[in-house]
Amino acid sequence: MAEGLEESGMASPDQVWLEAHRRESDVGPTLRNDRVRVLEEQVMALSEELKIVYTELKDAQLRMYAHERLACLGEMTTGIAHEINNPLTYVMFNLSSLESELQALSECVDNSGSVTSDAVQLELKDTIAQCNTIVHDSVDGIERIREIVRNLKEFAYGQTPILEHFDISRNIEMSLKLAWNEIRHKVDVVKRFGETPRLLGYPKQMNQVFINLFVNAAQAISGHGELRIETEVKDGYVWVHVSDTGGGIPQAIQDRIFDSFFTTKPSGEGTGLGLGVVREIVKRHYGKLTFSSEEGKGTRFSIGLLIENPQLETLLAKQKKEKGYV
Amino acid sequence: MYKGRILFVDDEPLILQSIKCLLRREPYAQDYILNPREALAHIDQYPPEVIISDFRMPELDGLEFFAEVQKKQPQTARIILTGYADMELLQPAVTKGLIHRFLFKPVSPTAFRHILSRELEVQLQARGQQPEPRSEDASLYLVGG
Repeated sequence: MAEGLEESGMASPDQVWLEAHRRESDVGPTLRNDRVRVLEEQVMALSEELKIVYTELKDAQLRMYAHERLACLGEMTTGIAHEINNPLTYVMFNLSSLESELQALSECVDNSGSVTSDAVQLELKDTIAQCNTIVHDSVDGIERIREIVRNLKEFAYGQTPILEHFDISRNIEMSLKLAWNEIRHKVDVVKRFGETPRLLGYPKQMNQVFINLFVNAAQAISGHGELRIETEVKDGYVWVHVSDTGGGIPQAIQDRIFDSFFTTKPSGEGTGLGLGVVREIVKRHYGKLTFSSEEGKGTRFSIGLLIENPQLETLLAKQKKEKGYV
Repeated sequence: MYKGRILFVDDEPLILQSIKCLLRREPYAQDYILNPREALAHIDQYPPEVIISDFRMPELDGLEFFAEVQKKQPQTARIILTGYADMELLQPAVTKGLIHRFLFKPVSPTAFRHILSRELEVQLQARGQQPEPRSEDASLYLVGG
């Protein structure tokens, strides 16, 4: 049981005690007890220190994994977006060419009245009409793919943005402006902004977050309803609450709404990337994201952003250093 | 009557083919070349007014290609076709006048046609050659995508 301290490299409390006991066996009992007590205390202290260091290491490791995963994801999505753009380009061009060729064919058929029978004319025109519909639907599909790729790129480009101090109320106002066209017909906006301190973060990404939430809120409302935006300071966080009077999120799907590509929107309307992006951005701010929803009543999303943000402060210092600031 | 000439350079044959189909009823002469080095040799014999080139190509990338074009025929309009990821690399090239504009893939077909006609028109007018008047609708002068 008692290996030498040198062998194991890391002594267990028992070993230390035994070693101390062995060395001091020639000294008188009182001195020996004192010596042992001191050593025991030292071991306890080291043990506590070890626990703290281990926890810090574990935290740093988890953060690194998350960061690497995000960076990896970013790289991957950029690569994918780029790969898709080439075939997307020529398919779009080809569909347009097809439209032109069908037009030319149609004109040809019109001009061939003297050579073809009415029945044949009708048949040809019907076929051309059918082709036009097919092309039209395909163009639609391609446009959707283009949108998805655009969303992917936006997500990927959030990877190395600049950290800044910003005002959350101004950020919300800006986001409202950007989303206005999409939401104006469906919502009355109610704003209740508290006094909030400036925050450290990625303001452009926060724009994305709010735009996403506002658009989702508007889409959840059938007809006309209310979009309520409130800010408050609580427990070291600035909280932004975005509420709507929409249909609410059914209990059954509540734990899936943040999954990438999960969407409840009808085919063709949602890419399902919105809330996933929102969550990632809030994570990047070391913030909190919660929601509560009641079917038939509405939904409320809450985003908490740290007032004091040591991790981002460290990152900011690093960024400044890299840029040559002192 | 001379109606101008546009050269397209891209290492993807399907892209060149799709452009060819798209523009097959256009009045101007068109050249489609896969290899930028071959294109450099070609323009000596058949100088175009406008060149559209892809950015990412093996051997010679779009910027290197256009640098060579600029040396040979500085007046030619140089337009690069690119995915958004290349923006950072291309901005300085535009500032320096190495390329005149960029088009983001995927480009809207209508916008593509318009931009080509417009660039050609500008070039021909600058060289004192009026292109044939064409009917164009007042669509947006989009920069692709």
